[in-house]
Amino acid sequence: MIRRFKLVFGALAILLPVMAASPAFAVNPDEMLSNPVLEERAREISKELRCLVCQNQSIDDSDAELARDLRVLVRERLIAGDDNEEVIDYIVARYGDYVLLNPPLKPETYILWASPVVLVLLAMLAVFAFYRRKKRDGSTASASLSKDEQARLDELLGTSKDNGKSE
Amino acid sequence: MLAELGHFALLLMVVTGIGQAVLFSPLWLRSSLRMFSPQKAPATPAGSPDFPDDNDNDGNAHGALAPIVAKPANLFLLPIAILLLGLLAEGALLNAFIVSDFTLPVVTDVSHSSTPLLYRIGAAFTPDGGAMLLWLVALSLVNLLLAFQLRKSASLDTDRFARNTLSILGMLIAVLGVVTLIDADPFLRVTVVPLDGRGMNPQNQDLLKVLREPFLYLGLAGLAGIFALTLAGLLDNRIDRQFAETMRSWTIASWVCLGTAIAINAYRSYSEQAWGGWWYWDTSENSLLLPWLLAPALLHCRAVLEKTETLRSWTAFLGITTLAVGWFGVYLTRSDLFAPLPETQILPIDSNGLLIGFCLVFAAAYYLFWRSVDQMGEGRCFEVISRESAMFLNSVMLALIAAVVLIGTIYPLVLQWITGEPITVGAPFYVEVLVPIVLPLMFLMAFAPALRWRQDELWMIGRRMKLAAILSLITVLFVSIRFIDLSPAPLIGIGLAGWILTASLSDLWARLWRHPEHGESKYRNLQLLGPRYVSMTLAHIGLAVLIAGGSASSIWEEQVVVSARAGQSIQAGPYNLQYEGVSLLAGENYATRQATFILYRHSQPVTELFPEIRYYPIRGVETREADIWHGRDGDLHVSIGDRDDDGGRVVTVHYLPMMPWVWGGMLLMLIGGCFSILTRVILRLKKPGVSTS
Amino acid sequence: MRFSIAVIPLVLFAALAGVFLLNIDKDASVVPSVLIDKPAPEFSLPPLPGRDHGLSRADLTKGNVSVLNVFASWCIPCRAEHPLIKRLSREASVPVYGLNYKEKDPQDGVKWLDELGDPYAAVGMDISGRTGIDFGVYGVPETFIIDGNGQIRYKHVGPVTVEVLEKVLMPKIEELKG
Repeated sequence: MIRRFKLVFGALAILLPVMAASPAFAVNPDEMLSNPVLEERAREISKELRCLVCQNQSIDDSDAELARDLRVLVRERLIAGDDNEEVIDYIVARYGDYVLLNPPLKPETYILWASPVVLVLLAMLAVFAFYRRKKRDGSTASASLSKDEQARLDELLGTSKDNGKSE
Repeated sequence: MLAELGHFALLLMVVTGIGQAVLFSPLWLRSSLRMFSPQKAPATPAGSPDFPDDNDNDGNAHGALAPIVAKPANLFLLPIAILLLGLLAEGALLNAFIVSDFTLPVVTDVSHSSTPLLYRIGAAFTPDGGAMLLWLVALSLVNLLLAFQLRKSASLDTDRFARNTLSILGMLIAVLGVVTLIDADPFLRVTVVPLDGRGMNPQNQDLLKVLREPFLYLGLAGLAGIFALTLAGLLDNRIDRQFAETMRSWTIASWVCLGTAIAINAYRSYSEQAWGGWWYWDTSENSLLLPWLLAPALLHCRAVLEKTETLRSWTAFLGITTLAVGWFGVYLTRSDLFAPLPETQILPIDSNGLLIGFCLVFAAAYYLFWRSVDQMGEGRCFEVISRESAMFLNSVMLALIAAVVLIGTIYPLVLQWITGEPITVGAPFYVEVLVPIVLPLMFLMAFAPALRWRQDELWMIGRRMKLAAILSLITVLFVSIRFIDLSPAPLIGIGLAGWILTASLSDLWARLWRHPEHGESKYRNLQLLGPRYVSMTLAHIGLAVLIAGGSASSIWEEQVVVSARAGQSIQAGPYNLQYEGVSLLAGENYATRQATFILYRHSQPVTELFPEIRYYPIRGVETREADIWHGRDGDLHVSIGDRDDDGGRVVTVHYLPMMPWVWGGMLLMLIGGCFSILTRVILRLKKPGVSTS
Repeated sequence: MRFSIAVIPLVLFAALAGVFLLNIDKDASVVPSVLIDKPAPEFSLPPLPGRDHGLSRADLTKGNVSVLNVFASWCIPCRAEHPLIKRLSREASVPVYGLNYKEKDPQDGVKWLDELGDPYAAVGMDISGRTGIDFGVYGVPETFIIDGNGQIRYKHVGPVTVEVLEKVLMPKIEELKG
């Protein structure tokens, strides 16, 4: 970090009024609820909700103005007696599933949620088949190697002889 | 005038790239031979990578053509010329940024006359055109280095494999050059010259961030080298021991470069934002992560290939795919497909050329893979319980992780295109899905040093790893009993990290204290370790340390948000911060509100911390720079916010225990990689032409 | 040629490339609203300082098509689109309502309209931003088209450009009127 500064009073005088209007800050003390249980729940909910104007940051993590408004809204709903589910539904009703960092399970996301499982299964199957084949035709493997070696030998002879390879 | 010169250099670079693709292509030798014999027309397009059936004897042609094309001294001319042209173009662009030449819209878009010199240079890498040019320069550097390397083992004028490799690299340079010229030509001028620029994005105004781009594109260029080697290997059916050997340094070097870019990215988010987060799984991060995950996958199966000549097709597949995901990642980040809000920019974002180039290059590559992979034989098999097997499984798991990340990254986009339904795939998804893959991977990693090549016995492994198993079990038990109420995933992470650590260290210990044979020097044990072993151990320990640190800091993180007044003291973990107040200062091109904190640890003063809020008037943007103390038991992360309604200053303090482990782990991994490359380079220089394996 | 698993990478790659090539010019950065074809939320906003009429849901359900434009004096793209909103108000012969979103100082909105001209039939002041959230606003400026029954029928995020005005908004309004 740069620690050396030049004090330019003129610039500051111009900048001061501009700097007074600055964006909000992630979880300000004035937003926080006095009830620690509710506050904890609010933090939990906030971590699940996307800040719409950021890339993949939760509203709990974001400096954006809208994120701050949503944090305050979450806390208001909690005070009004909503449970976590209801608070999230309230926001989703306005912004859609897009605000959920964890995509909900629904027909559109079946492929998304299934893909890791399917991939792991396929990989296991492929690895298993790989070892099975190795076990079964160890002899053919060596035969194919010799064929391959033969091909390369031919090629080496065909190109040049001073082409020393360390094999 | 310099910009025009740069423009011309870029254009010439494309031409020379095509020239290299044609002149180094053995195919060209054949087709030009046909030209000499008038009954056959030179129909085949030179430089096209797919000529699978082209394995007949071109060798005979060399005798006739050698005087025309293949004077060994001249062969380096093309790669050298390409690099010089690239440097010239880059120099011209840098010059435009340094002198703030606003007749170039790229300069206007991301720079300003008041931007400090260092960041004006850094800004040159951020717009599309500048980034592409940087990639091209990195690529031409790799091109030249690869030409030198290949000449060591084979003569460039006769060896088809070497010629093919350089021909493909030349083609890649030409393709990317054309893409740059079409999509984002950085050297175009405007007639109506603006008075000044729009300024650099203040979030990029950071020394580390400036370094990030060169590392990223060097990494990608290294992957392009691997890609070219792989295609050449496929063309000639030469995915073999020597191929693996040639590829080795490139894999490690690319991985180190990409890792550096990732580490910079993570540290920058960490130090810029108020909440101590360092990874958000956003598109730009994921597109860095993808090639970084596949490079070690390639590294491991390449080692198996080198040892046993098995896993040829898998290595070839990874060799192609690593560059594919890297290129695709560049496209995703540059295309602006994921920007949450429509951007207002002077330069229109157009990366269609990048996409089309991507499709053409990799369609050809995968087609070639398909056609040539069946002719590939496999070497003698390895047993299920062997080091090869562990390395193979490791590469499969890394590829799985990369596949999941790729799907998570593009799924929202594709879904929105198909159904119009927007969704978000965020951190919770990745954590839920990846943890079950990463944990077994870590479990497996610990076996790496203990396993023998070819074949091993379970009971033998058990004997070697008994100490590690006992120690790590104790760690897990201790941690889980002590913190019984915490969620299990991070605890398992810590336990597994302990497992890798103890396994690596106990193996190292055993090797170091091996009883020396009679007459051996007492440093013999140290020598026997070998650079490969050392770098592997460093990298594995680094990952373990990183995961332990990440897990621990996520569990025991403490956050304090208060509205502080001057003189107030804030407690976080073992630390105590005294808030001294905020002063207004002027930076070079920004004004800043800088707070002063005195940090005490157990009431002993340790240091002063200066978090800031900077205001950049050119873009009218504020950035928050946290200040961080990396203590021995954790990071203390302080940032300031607005003035509160009651007159205090909002202060956020994070105490992240074991967070230095995360940064230390990243560093260890990078050091491991660098160590491996350096020892290899040094040994090579000492004994030219002799391999160091 | 016989089938081999080595073709799988090519097929997968072709599928991926195909999807991206087919959508090469589509803009995915705009999030479509979930509120489309849903009734506009209940709200009642106070007027700008010195004016009589605020804005409430009743204004949107008077039986004719209307446009709701979310703007703010601190928003730079709003300034850019303002002439087009004026043109829209002149040419479309539907009421254009303004939602003055999150002003730091209530006077700012008035000053802004005094300076640039006021195309709005009525303006409501949303200091807290709560009505904005109810409308799913996430990036000012946004423009909603609302039919006579108070149903939201279209939403445009970001500044209105000449092209958007002529090719999207006007035809949509005509379609809803007719």
